[in-house]
Amino acid sequence: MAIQTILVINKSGGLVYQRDFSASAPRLSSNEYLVLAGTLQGVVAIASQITPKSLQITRKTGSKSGSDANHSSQLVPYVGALGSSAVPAQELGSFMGPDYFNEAFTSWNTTGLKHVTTDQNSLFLYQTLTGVKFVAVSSQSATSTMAVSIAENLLRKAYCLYVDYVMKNPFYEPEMPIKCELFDKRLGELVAQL
Amino acid sequence: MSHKIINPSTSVAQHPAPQGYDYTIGPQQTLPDLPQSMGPSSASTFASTGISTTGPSAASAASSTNLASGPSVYSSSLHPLAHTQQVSLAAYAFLFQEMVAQARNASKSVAEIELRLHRHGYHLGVRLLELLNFRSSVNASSRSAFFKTSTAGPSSTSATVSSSAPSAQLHGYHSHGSGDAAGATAAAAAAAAADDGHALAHSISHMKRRDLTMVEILQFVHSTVWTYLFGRPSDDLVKSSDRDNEFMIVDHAPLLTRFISSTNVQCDFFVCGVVEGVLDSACFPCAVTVHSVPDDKFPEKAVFVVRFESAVLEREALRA
Repeated sequence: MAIQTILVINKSGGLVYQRDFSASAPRLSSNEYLVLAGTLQGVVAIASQITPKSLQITRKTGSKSGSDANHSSQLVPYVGALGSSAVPAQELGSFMGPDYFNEAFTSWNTTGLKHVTTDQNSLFLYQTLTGVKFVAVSSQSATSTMAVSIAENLLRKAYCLYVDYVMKNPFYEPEMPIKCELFDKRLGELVAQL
Repeated sequence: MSHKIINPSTSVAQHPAPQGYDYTIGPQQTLPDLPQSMGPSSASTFASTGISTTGPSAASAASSTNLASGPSVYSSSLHPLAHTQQVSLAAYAFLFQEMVAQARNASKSVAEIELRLHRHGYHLGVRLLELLNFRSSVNASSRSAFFKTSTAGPSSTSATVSSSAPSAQLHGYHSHGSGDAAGATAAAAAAAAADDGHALAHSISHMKRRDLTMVEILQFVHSTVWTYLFGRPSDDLVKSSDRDNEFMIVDHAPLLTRFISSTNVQCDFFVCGVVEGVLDSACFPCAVTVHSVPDDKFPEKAVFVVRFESAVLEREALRA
């Protein structure tokens, strides 16, 4: 899975970070990226609106009572070895595990858009509890659940990096475009390891 | 290495109810502070409310064995149970972030931000010299003896404290004022106070020797201060080859600025302030600056340059 682009969209739908990782990435103008971010935000909002109310309620009660059948549908399996063995433990940020996290996690994106697949490309979306969205564009058409969970793991790691290197940077203004050298660097390392 | 020492804070298992701020331990978690008397019943309430008490205590036990492998009074808090008290790196980072942001909002220029951070650190350094020297003066036996008496349970000691403490203070005051008052009673009162476990200072037989030469005090900064602040000694201590009064403390990956992308503001000036505070209050007036010297292996390498005033050099020459 070749990652072409990673985007970060803030909770109000503005594009705060965009980076291309391969030379073959489609050249979009910065304005087009902004439009893409806004469109995704709109689609996510609509998708959560059109989820039937009854489904939302059963999901909620299901996860509260802790029944496994409902729970597992929201649980993303942990995909280890995203090339992380090369990173010495000290290089990591404030997370304790050798790989930021090392167990399956609950997807917070229960009602919104998760991925878009075409014959040429696929787009994955990871939403955090606070409404920040991480988007990865890959150059392969990936439909398998494995590919989706790999992408979710990757984007969750990107989120961990965001939490460490962007939110803990005193020179970053919340909701503004991200210009943090260390975040750039670590994200580059993460994607290069794939 | 640092991730071993700074872990998310866990509650201290079987810790007696803290009575106010204990300067030998530092700030303590006070949330699950239940009176000792309701011991067995409190356990059941914990279980019923769903707060797992076994998880953190098991984790803290594991980490305490981990840290106890090389116990040194220099680096650790004096309290026997304090090894399990750790600070979360994330909390540390957020606090520092807020400090920098505040300095930035209040200043007009880059130099002013750095000066403010430097000043914050200076006050920390002045206190740190005192604290760390005090801690290293307490040996293990007196420490355990002191804390054993103080952890004997509030109900048994409180009665004796309330009866004897006022008289002891009174006797001590009299002997001070009149000079020739019965020394025996004063000594007895002091002994009683020590028995009550109210002054750790009583159990110190002699203080640690003061660091008198530049190299000694820099070693103290390089190892003791750094270990206390960052969980490891600094990576190198170098003497400048061209200037006699110049020393360099090298840190390959400064902990405080770990998450801060390099900008034109050097946030490590806070650590400069700490070092200068320690050295100044130890009577080694100096100026400390920091320079980031990135190399291939350590892209965040920082060098703290200590320039002593000429008076220090002259004093050193007289001693030699």
